[in-house]
Amino acid sequence: MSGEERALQRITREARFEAEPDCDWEAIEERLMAEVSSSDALSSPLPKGHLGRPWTAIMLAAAGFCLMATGAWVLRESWLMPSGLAQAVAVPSDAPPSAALDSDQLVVGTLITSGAEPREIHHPGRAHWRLGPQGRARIGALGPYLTVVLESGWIEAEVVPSPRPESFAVEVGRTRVAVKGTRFRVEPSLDQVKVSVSRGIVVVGEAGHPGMTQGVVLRSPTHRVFDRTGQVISDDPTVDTASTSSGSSALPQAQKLGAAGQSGASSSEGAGNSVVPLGTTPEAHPLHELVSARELAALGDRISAHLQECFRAHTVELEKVRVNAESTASFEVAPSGALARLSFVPPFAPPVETCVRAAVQSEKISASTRGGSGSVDVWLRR
Amino acid sequence: MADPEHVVIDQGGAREVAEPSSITRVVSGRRLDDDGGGTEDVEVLVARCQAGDKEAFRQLFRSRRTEVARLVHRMLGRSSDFDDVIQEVFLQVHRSIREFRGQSRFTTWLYRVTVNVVLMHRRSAKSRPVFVDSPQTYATDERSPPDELVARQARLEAFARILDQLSEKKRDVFILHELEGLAPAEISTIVGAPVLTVRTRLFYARRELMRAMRDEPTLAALADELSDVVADGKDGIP
Repeated sequence: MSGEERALQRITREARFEAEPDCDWEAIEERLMAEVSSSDALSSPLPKGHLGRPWTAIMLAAAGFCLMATGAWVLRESWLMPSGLAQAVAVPSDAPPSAALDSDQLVVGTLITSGAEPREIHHPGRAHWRLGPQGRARIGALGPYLTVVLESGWIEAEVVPSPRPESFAVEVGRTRVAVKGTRFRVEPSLDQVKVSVSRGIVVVGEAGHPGMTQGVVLRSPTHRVFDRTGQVISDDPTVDTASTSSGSSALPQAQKLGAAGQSGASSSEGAGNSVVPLGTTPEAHPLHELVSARELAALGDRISAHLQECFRAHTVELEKVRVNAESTASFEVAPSGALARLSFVPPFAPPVETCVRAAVQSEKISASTRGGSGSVDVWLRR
Repeated sequence: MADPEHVVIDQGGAREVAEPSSITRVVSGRRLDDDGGGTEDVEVLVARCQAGDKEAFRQLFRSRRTEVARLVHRMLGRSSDFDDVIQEVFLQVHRSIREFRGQSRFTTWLYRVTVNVVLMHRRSAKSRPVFVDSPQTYATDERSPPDELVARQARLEAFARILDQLSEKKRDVFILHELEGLAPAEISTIVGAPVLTVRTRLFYARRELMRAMRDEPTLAALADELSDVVADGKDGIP
C-alpha cells in the first residue's frame, strides 16, 4: 500500500469521526411540526356535504388573511425593537453569587453584568465561565462557536473538551481567545489583554474569524500579554498561573486531555510552555523529555493494524453479511518506550482483545522522560 | 469489560441471532439491521406516521435527526442553509412516507430522501459545498511538538477541499461508502445507479483524491510520513 493510500485511509478515518455542527434542534422541530400541521390542514379533505367549494375558498382566504395579519404584526413588533438591542440580565444585589446563570436565558446580544461578587454562567455540556466583579460581558454568538464579548472585568472559563474547533471563545476588542477544551483566564486592561492558560490549549488572534482564528497558540501552563488586536506584547512575570487571585476561586477540574505532547501538564511542570507565534522561531524542546507525536501516531497505526488482523481472525465470516465495528483505542507509553496500557472504548469481544494485546506486547518506541499517551479511532470491517 | 452482545443480523429478510462469543460488538449505527433503536420499533413508528400520527412523526424526527444532520453536513459542508436542509429532509419524509413500502430498510429510504433533498438544494442554490479555503492558522515548526488537534483540523480542512474537487456523483458515492459506511448495493439504491457504476465511481474517486493530496501540503506530508513508516518498517523503535 502506498503512502497516498495510507494517508487517504487515515484522513478518511478522521473525517468519519468528525462531529456534525451543532443544531438548534428545538427550533428546527418547532418549525418542522408547524409546517407539518399547516400542510396537513391544507390537504385534509372537508367533510362531504357539509361545505362546498365556495366555503372552502372563503376559509382558505380567511386563513391566509390571518397568517398575513400575524406576519404583519410580527414585523411591526420587530421594527419597533431596534436591532441589536441588548437584553440586560440584571443581577439583583442580593442574588447569591453561587447561583449560576443558565444559558437557556441567553440570546445573542444579552448583556451580563456582575456586582460585588463574580457571576457564573453555565452552558451545559459546553462550558462554565465566571465573570469577575463589576464586570460586563455580552453573548457574541451562540451555536457551534459560542462567543462571549468581554467589555470590562475578567473572565475565567472551564471548557469541556470538544472535537469541534473553538467551541468557546472570549473576545476583547479585536482579540479573540478561542479554546479547544481547557481552563484559561482573560483579563483586559487599558489597551492590553492578559491571557493565562492553566490547562489545555487556546489560540489567541484577531477577532472575527470563528472557527479559523489565526494567531498564537498557548499551551498550558503559560501566560502572555497581547494588545487589543491579538498581537503578543510580552510575558508577564508577575502573573503566576498556578495561583488564583482573590475573588476567583478555582473552578471544578475538567477532564485531562490524554494525547501526549499536548497534555494538560500541572503548573509545576514548565515544559508545557510552548508559545508558537506566527513567523517566529519557537523554543526547542529536548527530545528526550517528550515522545514525538509522529511516533505515537505510528504506534497507533500499528495497533490499528494488529486489531484489524485480530478482528478478522476472531470474527465469524458470514456469507453476504458485513460486520462493521468502530472503537477508540487509548494507549499509554512508559518512559522506557514500552506500551504500558491499552484499552478500547467500547470494548471488543474477549478473543479479539486477547489477540491484540498479545500482538502489541513487543511494540516499543523511543524512550523518554515522561512517556506519553495517545488514542486512535479504529474502524473495522469484516 | 462489557460482555459481548447478541447481534441480530439481517440476511436478506431472514434473521439470525449470532453466538456472542463469535461476533464482535457492532456499534454506532453501522449494524446491518440498525434502524435506530430496534427494527420493530421503526416499523411501528413508520406505520403510525403513515396513518397520520404527528407524535409518531415527531419521535421519528428525534430518533433520526442526528444521522440526517451528519449526512447533510458531509455532503454540503459548512452551509448556512444547514438547518433548512435538515428541515426540508424531514418535510419530504412526512410528505412521502406513505410511499415507503418496506421493500428496503427504512434507513436506506431515509438516506435516499436525504440525498435527493441535498441534490435539489445544490441545484436550486446553484452552489457547490462551501469548504472555506482557510489559510494555515497555526505556526508550525518541526522542532516543537506538533499540536495533534490543530494538525488534525488542518488535515480535515484540506481533505474537505480535495473532496470538493470531485464531481458530484463521485463525491456523493465516496461519502456514502467511506464516511457513512454503506455497502455499494445500498448506495446503488440510494443514488439510483447500478452497483457496478457505484463501484466504478468509488474507484475513480479514490484515485483522484490520492492525486489531489499532493496539492495539499498537510496531506502530502502525511502521505510522505506514512511512506517513510512503510519503508523503514521500524520507525521509532530502538
